[in-house]
Amino acid sequence: MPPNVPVLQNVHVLQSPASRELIESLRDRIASLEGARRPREKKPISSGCEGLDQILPDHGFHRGTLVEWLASGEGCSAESLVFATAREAWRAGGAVVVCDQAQQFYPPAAVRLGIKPEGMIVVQAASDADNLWALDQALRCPGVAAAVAWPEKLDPRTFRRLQLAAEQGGGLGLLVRPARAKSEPSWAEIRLAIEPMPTTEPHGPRRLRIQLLRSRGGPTGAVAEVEIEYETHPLPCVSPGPSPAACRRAAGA
Amino acid sequence: MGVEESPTPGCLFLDITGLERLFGGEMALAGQILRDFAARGLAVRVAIADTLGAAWAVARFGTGQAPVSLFQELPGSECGETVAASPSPARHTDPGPFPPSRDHSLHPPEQRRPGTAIVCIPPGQSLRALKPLPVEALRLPLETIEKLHSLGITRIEQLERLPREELACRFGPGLIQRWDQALGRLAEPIPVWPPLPKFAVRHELEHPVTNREQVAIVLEQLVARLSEQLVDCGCGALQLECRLECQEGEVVAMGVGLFQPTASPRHLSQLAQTRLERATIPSPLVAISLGASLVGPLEHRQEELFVDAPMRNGSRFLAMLIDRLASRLGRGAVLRVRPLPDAQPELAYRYDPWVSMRGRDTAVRSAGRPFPASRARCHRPARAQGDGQKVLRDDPVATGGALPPRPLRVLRRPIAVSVISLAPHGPPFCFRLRGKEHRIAWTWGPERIETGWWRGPAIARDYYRVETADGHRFWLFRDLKDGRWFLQGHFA
Repeated sequence: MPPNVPVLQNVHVLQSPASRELIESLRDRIASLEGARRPREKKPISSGCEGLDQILPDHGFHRGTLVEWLASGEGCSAESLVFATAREAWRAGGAVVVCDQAQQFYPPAAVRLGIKPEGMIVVQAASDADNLWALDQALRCPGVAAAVAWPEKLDPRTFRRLQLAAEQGGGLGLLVRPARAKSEPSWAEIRLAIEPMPTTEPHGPRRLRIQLLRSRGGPTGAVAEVEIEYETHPLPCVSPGPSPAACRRAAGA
Repeated sequence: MGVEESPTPGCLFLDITGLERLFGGEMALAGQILRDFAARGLAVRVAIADTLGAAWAVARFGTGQAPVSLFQELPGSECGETVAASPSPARHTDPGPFPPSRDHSLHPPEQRRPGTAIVCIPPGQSLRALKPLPVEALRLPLETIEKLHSLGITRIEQLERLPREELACRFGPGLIQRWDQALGRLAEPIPVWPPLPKFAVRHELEHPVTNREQVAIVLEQLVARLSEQLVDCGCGALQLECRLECQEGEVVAMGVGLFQPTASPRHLSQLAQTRLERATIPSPLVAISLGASLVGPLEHRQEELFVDAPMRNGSRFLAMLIDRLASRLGRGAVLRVRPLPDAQPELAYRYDPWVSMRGRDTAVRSAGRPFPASRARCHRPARAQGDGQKVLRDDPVATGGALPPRPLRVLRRPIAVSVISLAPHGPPFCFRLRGKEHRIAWTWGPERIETGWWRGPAIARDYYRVETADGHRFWLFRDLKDGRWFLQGHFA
């Protein structure tokens, strides 16, 4: 497990320029101790979602790191955020590798999100080991902008290896994982928990609640409620049947 | 002798000037060619004409009706084609399909006549023979043909009536050039096709070897030798074939396909070693041979695929990544996406392997590769696209533009779910999935997707996007044929 990081959350009480300088230098030392050798000048990759960017330490993800997305079950729209991030990374150049061991990835939806079909490499490995190997290889490749995978089980050593691979290749590793992985140690730079929020009106946007569970060298715990543009509805809410409220009543709920 | 210069060559050209005397006439020579190809199991079509262009045109597009052609009925001959060009007074011949052309898609079947396997245009009759043929017979680029068609010019005789100067400025110099070449006003040399050397190396071991490390060392030396051979010819390997010969006579053959031609010893050796690690060696090895069974020119141009990438090296690294992935996981596991215009969600895209064999034999080889049944079933060949599906939408808003959202996760096979709906044909109210009941709070739809019966198994489904009370979104459909409900995917 990575070392526990002192969180510099209350630095704003120290206001004098000298102490600010001191804090800056301490921050840098911590960052170097952590081995986060990312070049400072490089612009981070936006998540493609403004609300999410707000809670991220540098308003985006850094190249050469892993991001863990803990999804609260099927249908929670976490992947929409993941692929929006992949799209942003892809726009800056490179390809998106999708390690789709379960063979459930649906490319037309990603194309709809704005990733060109020729920019995607879909890998369908037959076993967990092959899948992680493929992910590792993809992360090591400098031509890869982002690699997406759904690793359910990830032991710390493999995790660490993936992180080093991402550091070497300079791409973004996007790992979608079940919510129960929350208790497991993580080598990811950022760990986010995604939960859907019930829709309140028929033509309303898709709303999600995102919590920043972990951020290497930065404050954690921030929560954002975001709206995503992707799942707006050209089809109307069912008109002939009873309204949802009526349905609920009829069911005695 | 040469091969048509085209990305998908279909013709062999042969200069038969003066040769016919040795064979007892042009027809006899053509017959001989036909028989020789037939002996190799290839059905070809032979055309003899004054020029390369005319022979090509007649071989590809000539029908039996050409006023000046002679036919020879050969029982049982199928149609490939063979071109014979012979500029008068000199005479040439050239036979046909390279590799065995069965590519009927190139030519509508009605343009091919079984039986008219030999067409001969007598000297000086090229123009007469060409007149009734379509403009495609002039070996023109697709844009020019489309332009001509849009002006209503489909036959060469229509083209011939137009003033030459206007043709040149309207369609560019290419058209005039082809036209002159076909009529012999402009000389056209037959492109020379030098036979490629065989790239193969072999190493016989002094003692039978079982140690994998030793095998790996030998393999590396072989790769180095092979890559030297390749570099000398400016070629890169597209397919490596490695054969391990064992003491007991067994041969372990391993093939590795590559995405881009390469001669880099490091890369080739990596790929070969990956395969070696996975190979089982039944008995001690006595010899190892390595060959590049498919090569391509070593090019240093940017691949078109990742043209957006600002980093120039990116595509090279990606090519290597694809090779590595494909060599361990198999060609069929590293896929590229081709969207198809199909209303049925499972058929709206197709996966193709990134690593494919170049050229004509692509289709042959990939057809020979068994795909998992489920995938083969839902990935139709490209010709299925566009014929006869329709989407009916209840809602005028939806007809304005794009399809409703599609989920990022779609199940390979829809799962049957039990659904309660309040109205007989109404939207779902709650559904049960893996023992858990999901109360539906919101429903969007239905989006009706129907396909024509003539396309194979027809489907008629009403798709609903639903949101459960706790905010999760799923994609359900009701099969309109039997009213059963299925889960197709989730909006992940």
